[in-house]
Amino acid sequence: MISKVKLGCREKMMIEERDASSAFSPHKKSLTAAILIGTTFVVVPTSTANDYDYDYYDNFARHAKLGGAEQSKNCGSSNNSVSTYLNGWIENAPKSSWYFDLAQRLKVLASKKDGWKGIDSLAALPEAHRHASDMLNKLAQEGIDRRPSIGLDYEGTFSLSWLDDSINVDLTVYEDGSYSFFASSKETRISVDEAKLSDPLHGRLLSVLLS
Amino acid sequence: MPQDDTDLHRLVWSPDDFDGEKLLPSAFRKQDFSGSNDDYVSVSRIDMLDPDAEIAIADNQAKKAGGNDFIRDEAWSVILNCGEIRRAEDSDKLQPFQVTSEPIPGENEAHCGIRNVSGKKGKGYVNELRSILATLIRSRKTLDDFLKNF
Repeated sequence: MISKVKLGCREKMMIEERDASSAFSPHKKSLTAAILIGTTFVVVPTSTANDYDYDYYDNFARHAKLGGAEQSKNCGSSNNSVSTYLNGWIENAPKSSWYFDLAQRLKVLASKKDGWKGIDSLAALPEAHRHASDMLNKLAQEGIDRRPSIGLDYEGTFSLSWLDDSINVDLTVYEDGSYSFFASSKETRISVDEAKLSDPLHGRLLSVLLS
Repeated sequence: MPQDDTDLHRLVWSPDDFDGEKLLPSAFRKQDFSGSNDDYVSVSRIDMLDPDAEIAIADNQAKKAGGNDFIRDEAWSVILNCGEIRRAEDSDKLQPFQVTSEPIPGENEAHCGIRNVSGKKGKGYVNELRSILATLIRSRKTLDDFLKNF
């Protein structure tokens, strides 16, 4: 599903010195990220603040693209902010409000070292991190409102879970691009040993998460 | 074998295995649910718990961890109940868990194991068992606060 956010003619975006996530909606955060990655100029804060985490936004940029944009430019800066202009579309903007926070959480977990929770715990497997990120993107693209909890397994794989009064879901993302899950709601229960991230999200998993 | 009314103590080494108050399924090693004789979720029965043994376990874990991220003081205690674990049902209405005594002489006489006795395996089933167990947590405290009561 493609989510298009129309920016309007010469919509002015103020990027404040501090992290923009507190000032903008998720869609506008997507816009901000696209500006930073999808253009050739660099937005440079005028202080020592370094709030623009390109690894963080790069994850979004792999799944979103700036389409039909006219040339953007840096319209100058004040001491505390720079302004940019954009006219066009952003496709594939994440539709879930939790997306950016959890992308950051994923990055924190991915930085853990071997032994982080004891002798037999592994750091995140590099490919597992990438695939977990892909899973978050897939869920966000589907507009899943329910916010998952993210954990790092002993084995270096990632776990996404939703455990509340209405649904019970535990999902493991593996380094080979597969995932397993158990999902239950009042209406249905399903357990799958292997699904592929390269396929659309499992339909019954989706139905539980959207219930 | 501990009775149904026995409470069990489980160490959770990192606060990153919680999301707020919720224990995450990632707090449990997937291999522990394999159903083999050597695999089980390690817990200690509280009625026989030796605080010095629990401290020794935590200190030993910190010593052997080898990872810069392991912080002994961040260990948490969660409490589960034997009977609730044994009565828990999976999606086929089977009771997959048994709690058995697994004393380690000279180290931890209170040691017990939560075992998968369903005969079922599979990655998806392990997801199911972890999610069931994570929701059976009765309470949590930091390890140091928990041991203050002993």
